[in-house]
Amino acid sequence: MAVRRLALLAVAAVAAFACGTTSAGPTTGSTITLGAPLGLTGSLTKESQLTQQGYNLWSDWINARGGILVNNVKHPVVIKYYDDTSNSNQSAVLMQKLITEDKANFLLGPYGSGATATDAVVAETNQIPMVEANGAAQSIFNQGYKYTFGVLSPANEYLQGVIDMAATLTPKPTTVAMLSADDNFSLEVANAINTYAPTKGMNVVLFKKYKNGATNLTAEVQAAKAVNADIVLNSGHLQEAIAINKAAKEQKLNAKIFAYSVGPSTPDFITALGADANFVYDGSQWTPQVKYTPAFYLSEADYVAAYKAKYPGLGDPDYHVAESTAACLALQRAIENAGSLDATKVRDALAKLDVTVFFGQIKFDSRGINIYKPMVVEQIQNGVHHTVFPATVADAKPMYPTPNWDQR
Amino acid sequence: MIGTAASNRRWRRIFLIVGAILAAYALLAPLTSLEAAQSANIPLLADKLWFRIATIIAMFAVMATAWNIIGGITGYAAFGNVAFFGIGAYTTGMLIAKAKWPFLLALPLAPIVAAAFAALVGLPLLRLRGHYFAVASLGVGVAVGELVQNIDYGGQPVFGGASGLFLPILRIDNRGLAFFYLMSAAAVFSIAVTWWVLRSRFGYGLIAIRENEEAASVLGVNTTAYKVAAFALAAALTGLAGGIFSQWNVFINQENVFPIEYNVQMILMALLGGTGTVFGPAAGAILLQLLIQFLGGTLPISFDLPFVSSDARPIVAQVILGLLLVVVVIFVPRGVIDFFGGRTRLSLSYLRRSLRETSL
Amino acid sequence: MSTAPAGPQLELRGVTKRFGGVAAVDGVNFEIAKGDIVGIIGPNGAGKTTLLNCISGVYHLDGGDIKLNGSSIAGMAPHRVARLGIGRTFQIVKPFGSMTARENVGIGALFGSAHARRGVKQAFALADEVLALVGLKAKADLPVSALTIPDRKRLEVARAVATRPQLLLLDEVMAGLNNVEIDEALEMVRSVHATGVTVLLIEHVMRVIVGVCRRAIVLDSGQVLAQGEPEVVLRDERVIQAYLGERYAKRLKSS
Repeated sequence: MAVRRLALLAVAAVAAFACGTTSAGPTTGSTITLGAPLGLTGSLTKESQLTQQGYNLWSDWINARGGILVNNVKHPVVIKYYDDTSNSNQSAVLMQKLITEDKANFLLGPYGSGATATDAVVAETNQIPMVEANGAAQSIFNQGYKYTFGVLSPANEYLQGVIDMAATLTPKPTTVAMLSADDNFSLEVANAINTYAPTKGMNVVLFKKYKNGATNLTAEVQAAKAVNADIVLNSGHLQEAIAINKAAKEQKLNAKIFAYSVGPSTPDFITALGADANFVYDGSQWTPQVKYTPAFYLSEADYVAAYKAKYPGLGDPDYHVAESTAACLALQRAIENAGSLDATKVRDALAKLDVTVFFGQIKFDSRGINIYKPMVVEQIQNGVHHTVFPATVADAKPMYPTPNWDQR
Repeated sequence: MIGTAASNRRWRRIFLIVGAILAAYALLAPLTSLEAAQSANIPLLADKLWFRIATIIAMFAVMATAWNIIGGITGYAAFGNVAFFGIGAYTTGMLIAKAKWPFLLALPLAPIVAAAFAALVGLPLLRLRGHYFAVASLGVGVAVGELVQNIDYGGQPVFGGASGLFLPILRIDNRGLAFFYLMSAAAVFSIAVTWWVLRSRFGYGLIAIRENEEAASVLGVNTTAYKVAAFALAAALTGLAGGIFSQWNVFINQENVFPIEYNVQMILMALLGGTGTVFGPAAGAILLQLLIQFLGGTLPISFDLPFVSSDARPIVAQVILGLLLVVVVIFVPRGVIDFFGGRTRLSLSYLRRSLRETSL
Repeated sequence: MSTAPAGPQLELRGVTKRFGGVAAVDGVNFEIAKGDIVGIIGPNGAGKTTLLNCISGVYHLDGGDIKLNGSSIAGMAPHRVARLGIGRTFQIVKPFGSMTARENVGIGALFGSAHARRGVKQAFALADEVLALVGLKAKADLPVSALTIPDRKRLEVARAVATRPQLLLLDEVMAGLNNVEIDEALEMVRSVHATGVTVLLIEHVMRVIVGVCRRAIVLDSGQVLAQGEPEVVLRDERVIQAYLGERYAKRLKSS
């Protein structure tokens, strides 16, 4: 490896000399190949496309600048994609193809916890770093793997921000009802609240599981009404969030806070519920309104503008897009810090990384997951998404408490 | 009965020689990836991607060969055999991840538990005939995957639940190579078992059941015991593949060890290669899995399908597989092994005869 | 089988089988002595095949008992009955279609009665012997599809014989054969019987009953109408009424 790198430098130097460039300006070096299997067809098409948009936004930007700067040599970037048809077994084969055949220097994650878990094993056994943005299940990071890094906040933090926010409000809510889908990710989100809420002086008075994908959640809502909780939480998916909100209105379930893990952040939620969507909170990895102080790359506003320019007609970038771009930024900075394209050195640089970008702070704990970036809390206010917590990045104050259904 | 006996023998010999050369390449080429071979400047004939694909092919060779025992030899079209793959994977997985057993100790439990489960569900299921059995076995295949994911005890998922199960990575030299050989050994073992079955009293009993169950029973074949034994044997081999898969893939969940489409694929492979034969299902597995990998874009040969955008390619791949199933069932009912084995050659009369055989 | 039991080899007591509310076999009693050759006749729907299915264990009894050498075999699965030494054929032949004639008979030899169970090699050797006995030696390697209808009937018998039964149940093995073929088949039944096997056969062809049977049992509506020597039974008025019909009966008398 060292020999190859030296040779590379020598070639670069000769090339620079031959061109007659006498200045100390950077020269162009070898192309860095990144690989990502994505579910461009199949059940995860939508989210995979968002992931790809996030990756592409960054590769356009970095290549417009000539590439990643390593020891005064600019390395252009190519991201090689394969369609794993949303199948994790296929994802693993394609990951190996990226490593073996396409000689990918580094890997970007697929979409989803299942494929990420399988691909993490491939990255680990081939000793090639994989930076991922779309597999939040903590189990992936509890295996002691050295080559997988996740830039997103882990699943257990998804609704903790809502609890943190609730603790700052008056009158302070004290009881929580949790309705959770029974899939892996939703349960991890929900179980975390079970242990977290008491530390903030709140009691989980109802914990009810339902079948993932359920469309009739009237019984669950009635159970929540029976315990008369201050906070009604849902850990599930878009359609379930809509069903719960509808049932809450029908059953006159009133609470100070309605917060749903996934769903309210999408435009579909407001379209489906109209004015009834107001006052609803959700936990999000990122919102276009957040205010961080980026060390490099774009500001939040510029990022939104860049997205809208490249993908017109799609509205604001979704958090899937932002976190995927963030994965690329983490890798870029680690390569720069390592001053090398060597897989092991870049891995070590990733482990030591601590940088803030438009997405927030990126820093990995010893397991390789980013526990340092807080989840943000959004609220729908008069049909518009506003970031309401943490106060340092918020663009509005929470509208609290949520009025009763008959007073809206 | 087309062609003379002499040309039959010649074809058979050519077929065997080609098969032996291919098998030798498949088994020996990976050795060129060893450090010793590389430092001796032997050209690399098979890389890590190749091992991975070849391991998958061997895995399907086991599953198709195992299916053949119950579906091809006994004539009971089991549509839920993926349940045994998953049970094998979870048996080995649980023993390694939770009970901290070493892999080689945990692996033999995979076929045992899968076979025990097959015997248990086989007793009621195998009383059903024809499509009733097919549908019921499919139901079992789906139900087991759901159960494994959803069984809780004291609020905690017993089998890792929806998060799946992580096994420790077996940190050995040439890990990919080792698993390729292990899976290949399982495939060879399955073929050897089939060879033995077809020559044994047991196998004759199974074929008799397939050809006419009532006649078999009045001749003294204990049909219930034989069917259950065949089902359990198929389950054991399928479970063995699952057990190896779990340690090879390291991460298992409902999606990757209970995929419904494997049920169809293993049957299609057996049909393609030739049901009831020794080598047919394995040959079918190699052909079909290569096609699947080719259409999935994992092989080094890149291609563009005319008039097909890259978005639609996986859909086209599914359509091609579906059409293949139809063509195979109608026109090559006895499989490619029979087809290339020298007994027949492609002609209109072969196709006509095949049509007669399938349209009773 | 060193000492033959003193009683009858096969004994039916009140054997009853119902389908829905209808008794297809209704309280049938008879006995068959070892080494005998007995015919069962009766009009269509009299319950002959049902009775065979009861004896061979294909059907469960709704009443009564069946004893082989003094011990009950009622309720036993077909394969256990076969292992105790009762072989049978089916009226509509049920050959193993993908196999050769030898393999078909080999299955009988591989399984069958307990003392017939043997290894694959010996089983096929026995199959060859039996094929010779029924006159199929030359066609041993042919697939079933290449056999004629009479040959398939022979194969059906050969398969049952290969189980080495002490009692053989034959269900209309002559049906659909021409006169020459019937003569050949009769010869085959005689030679099987000559090896010491007790034979119980269902036939429509009177010539067969008269030609080989020592005794005939007449079934009508699931009940035994008459039994005795074939010539005597066939002249019984009730039998003529129930089964043969006036016109046919006259022809038989005049012949």
